[in-house]
Amino acid sequence: MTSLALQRQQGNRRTARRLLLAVLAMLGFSFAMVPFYNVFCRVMGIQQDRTAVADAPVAGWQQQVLFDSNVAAGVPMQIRALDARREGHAGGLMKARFELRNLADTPLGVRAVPSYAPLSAVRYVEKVQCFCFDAIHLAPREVREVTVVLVFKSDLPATLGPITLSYTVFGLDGGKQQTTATAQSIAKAAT
Amino acid sequence: MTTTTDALNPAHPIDHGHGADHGHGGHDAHDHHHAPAGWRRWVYATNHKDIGTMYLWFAFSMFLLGGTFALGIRAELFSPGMQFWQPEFFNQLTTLHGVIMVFGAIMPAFTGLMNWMIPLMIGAPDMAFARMNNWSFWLLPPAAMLLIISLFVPGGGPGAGWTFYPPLSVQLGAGMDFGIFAIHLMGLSSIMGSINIVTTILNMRAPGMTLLKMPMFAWTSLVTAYLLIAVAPVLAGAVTMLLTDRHFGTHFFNAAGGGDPILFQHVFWFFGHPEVYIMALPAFGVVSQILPTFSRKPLFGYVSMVYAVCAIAILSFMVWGHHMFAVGFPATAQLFYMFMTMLIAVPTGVKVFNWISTMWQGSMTFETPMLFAIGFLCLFTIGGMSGLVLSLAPVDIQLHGTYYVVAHFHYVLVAGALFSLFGATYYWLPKWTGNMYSERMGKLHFWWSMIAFNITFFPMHFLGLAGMPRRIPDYALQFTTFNEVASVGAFLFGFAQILFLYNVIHTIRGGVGPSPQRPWDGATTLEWDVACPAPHHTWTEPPSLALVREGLIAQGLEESTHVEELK
Amino acid sequence: MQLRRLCAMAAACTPSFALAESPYTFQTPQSPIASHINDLHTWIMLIIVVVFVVVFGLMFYSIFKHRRSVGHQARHFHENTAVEVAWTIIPALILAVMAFPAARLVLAQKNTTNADITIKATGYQWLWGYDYMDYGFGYKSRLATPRAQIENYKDGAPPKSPLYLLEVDEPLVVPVGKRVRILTTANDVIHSWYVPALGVKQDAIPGFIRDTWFTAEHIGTYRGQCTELCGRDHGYMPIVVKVVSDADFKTWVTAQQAKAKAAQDDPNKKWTKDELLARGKQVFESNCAACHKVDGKGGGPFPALAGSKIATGPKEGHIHIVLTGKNAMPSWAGLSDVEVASVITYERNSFGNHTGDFVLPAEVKAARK
Repeated sequence: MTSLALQRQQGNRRTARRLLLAVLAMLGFSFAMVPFYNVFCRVMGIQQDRTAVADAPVAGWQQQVLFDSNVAAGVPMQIRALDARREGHAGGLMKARFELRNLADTPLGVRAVPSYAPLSAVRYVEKVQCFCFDAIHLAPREVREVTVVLVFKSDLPATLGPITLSYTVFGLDGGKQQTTATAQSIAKAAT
Repeated sequence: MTTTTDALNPAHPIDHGHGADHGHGGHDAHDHHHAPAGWRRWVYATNHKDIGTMYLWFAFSMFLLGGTFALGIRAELFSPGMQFWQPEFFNQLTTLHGVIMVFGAIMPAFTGLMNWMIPLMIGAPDMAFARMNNWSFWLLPPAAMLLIISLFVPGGGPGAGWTFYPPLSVQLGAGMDFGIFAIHLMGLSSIMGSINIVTTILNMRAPGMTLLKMPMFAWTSLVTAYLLIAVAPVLAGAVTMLLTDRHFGTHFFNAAGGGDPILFQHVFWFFGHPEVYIMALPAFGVVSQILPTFSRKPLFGYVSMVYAVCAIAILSFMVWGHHMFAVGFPATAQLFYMFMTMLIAVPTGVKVFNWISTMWQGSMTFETPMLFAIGFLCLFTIGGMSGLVLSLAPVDIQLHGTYYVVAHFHYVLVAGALFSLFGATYYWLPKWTGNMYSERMGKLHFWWSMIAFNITFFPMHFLGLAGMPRRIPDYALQFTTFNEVASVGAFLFGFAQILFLYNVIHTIRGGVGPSPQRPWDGATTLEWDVACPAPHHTWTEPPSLALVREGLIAQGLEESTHVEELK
Repeated sequence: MQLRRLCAMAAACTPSFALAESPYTFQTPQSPIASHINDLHTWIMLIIVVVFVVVFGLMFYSIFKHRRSVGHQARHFHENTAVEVAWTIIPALILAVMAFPAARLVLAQKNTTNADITIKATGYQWLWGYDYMDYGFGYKSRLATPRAQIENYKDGAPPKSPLYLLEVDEPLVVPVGKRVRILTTANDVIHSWYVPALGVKQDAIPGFIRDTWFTAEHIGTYRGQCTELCGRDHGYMPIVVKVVSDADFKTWVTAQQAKAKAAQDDPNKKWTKDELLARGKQVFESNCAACHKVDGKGGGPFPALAGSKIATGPKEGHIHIVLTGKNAMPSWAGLSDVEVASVITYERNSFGNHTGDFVLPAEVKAARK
């Protein structure tokens, strides 16, 4: 009897250790999903690829691109696409300008986040130069013109339809404003 | 009312003798000196039966609390316009209803059942790690407290839905942090509970009971526990990332910092879809115990049942995208998730066919557990079929985020998980309490629940088809009638559960008389070979090979030899 | 009784939707995609009904025949490989048959090429913004149902309009028979743009742009709602799509373009106090009344404006709090100078507040920082 109990206890401990390892591995996996997701998106051609290409411009399909812009909640600025609609060619280059306007009397740090529709466009369009690569610091009331330069890959399919490249401008402090607001409301309620 | 025990219980007189022959519990019944009395018995509990009991009571109280929230929701939705709550409180009600029912009621109830029954069914003296078992239970009440307290902090409870999608969940107040910590605690509890269950099942089975000869409930428990070990840490990771996004300036889910709010949905549903089966598989196990007992026939297709359970568990890791058909996947991803989801219907169908074949050519009687098992079978099939409709991505585009989805998952979770839990309670209540419950009241509970459930949730299919979004506190006028019907049904369903509570307490206090050791003549698994009520310690010595074999032969898992047939 | 009620409801609903709707199934499809979804649903339902009848038929036959009370003896079979293989393969085949039309439809839904017109729908808490990207104008579309109809906490609420919660001040206007591409994005949290009759639903995700499309086949007005929980007023941000003839659309676009141009000149306009008050009431009801209530009395965690220190104190403080927000109150810097000026003027001269102040758009402009 005791030998059985002892045997069991050892076996149980071994099993539990293995299961615990599995738990830790899965916890690691959940965090690993963050970089994995980015890699996966790049493979699927969903996320922007920032590597420059040097394809020689070749005349190809007419490709229409719509440029769109948005400002996230609470960022005191305006962004306007100066070339809202442009035509390009497969294998060719395209430049588009945006106007950023700081509405505030204080300096403003922002970052523009690009997004494509349809998603598959990312595979055929690359940004050679983009104001979204870096954070942008605007002086009070500054109006600045910024540009994006796109290269269309030569295998751009004619069936893709118009591509929309949309930018959303976020404040550099991200979601902090709201968190601060929450913290304040808690502090207030506590008093 | 004063029907005799014999009239109520179908046990064949011969079985009394059978039980007495092998009654291992008999001498253990005096073994009470190990159990501390009073509150210490419960706080320091290491006995699997005590812990199982606590789990079940905890789950039932959470069920009543979550049910109260549900009634709060249905009261507000009885007519258009805001009558009772502010919209933000309504959101907190839907969120807490979901979180409490999933993590507080259904999962602990099944863990409680596993705690109580697995050692009895596989012939083990207790769970593998008795002290850890105590811990995994006692993490739950603080978690529940956190959820309740969250309602009273400034800004109120978490109001982002039980799915906690950012950025909304990042935006909300401190109640959200309480919700996140509660989920951490519940996840930790589930992980420890699962380690215990897997270890117990793998290492502590009776001699002669190989894996492929375990009772079906043990199998589904094993697979469920494995699923939890795999996905509970993922959920913990997801909500931790949410927490750091909220307070420590990380940008996992914030586009401004290079994150992606959709990533949360991926991580969440990587947990969330297996979670659906974590709640459904034990129900399958319970039904696979009850149906053969009352059909007096072995479970049909045992091996294919095991394969189906495993197939469902594996497939459940590949279909999470079907919760996200509306986020705008590329066509390839949309197609992949659609095909995988449709595929999952195959093993689920196999299970339903197996259950019907188990009933086929049986000699059925319809005691309350059997009624709940059949109710489960009918309604779960309907839920599975609405699931099939939802699996078609183009149709899901219309139905995603509408009441159709609400109807679908309540058919699988209430009629699926909850009905099987009721069935399990009535099935094993005589073993737990030593008393027979009132069959008349049990049947009333069943029919009342069955009818009220359908009144509540069937009209929601129509609401969803017509385009009523879920999680709205107020609705357009053309949705009025069905909402009224659903609200009336919900209150009726709620009252039926008071009846259940009464019946259980009545049974504990003596019920309609003491139960024999084997109240169901078709029951063949090992838990019926211990005394009734089950003594504090059981199977301190493993059941004999002969006893195990006898059960396995009755379950059709082993062929009987000539000698045994003569006996 | 119930049946009569249902009939009455069906009758009552007729004016509330563009066409008479059956309460038991999808809204009448108004776009090719919606029709295809409808057909696919009908097909799967047919299969389901057949399977349902077979499965439940067998089960209930068994329940009635194979019971002990009719003396049936159990037969102890417990496997049959042929049968088990059959019921694994046959459902798989049925599913494979269903997968084909479904896959075709997925590809059609995802094909957003060759759009005649592109409109961006931006989800805000809790309204929709529409930008006509080909025509260079845009506007916000807010719930038009008055708060008084919604809040029935006390007796005496006015009767609900037939289009309760499904009406907006400015609907999305699109031409009939044209391929309309909808780009969705959001300003704050995730929303979802859903018009059942047109068969479109697309989440709107902050920082990302997604697209979907539809072609409306008939002139009419189609209504939907936000279908992703987005906070407090998730239930109060409907989507109304007005489908008009091509000619009407062109006229409307011209008018909108003219209006957009006029709106740009707004800051220089001389506003009278009455104009500001009228405009302010409108701005208040669509933005502020959700929390501060129509009567300015507030409720729960939201403070009353009636007699509040801020709304009756120095106006600089009032302008500041509207522009920067405080605690639970978000910043309303996204409103135009005119909107902020008018709403502050309104708040300072309503709900029993009598400051007599008159806030000019120029003051708001100066206060922005």
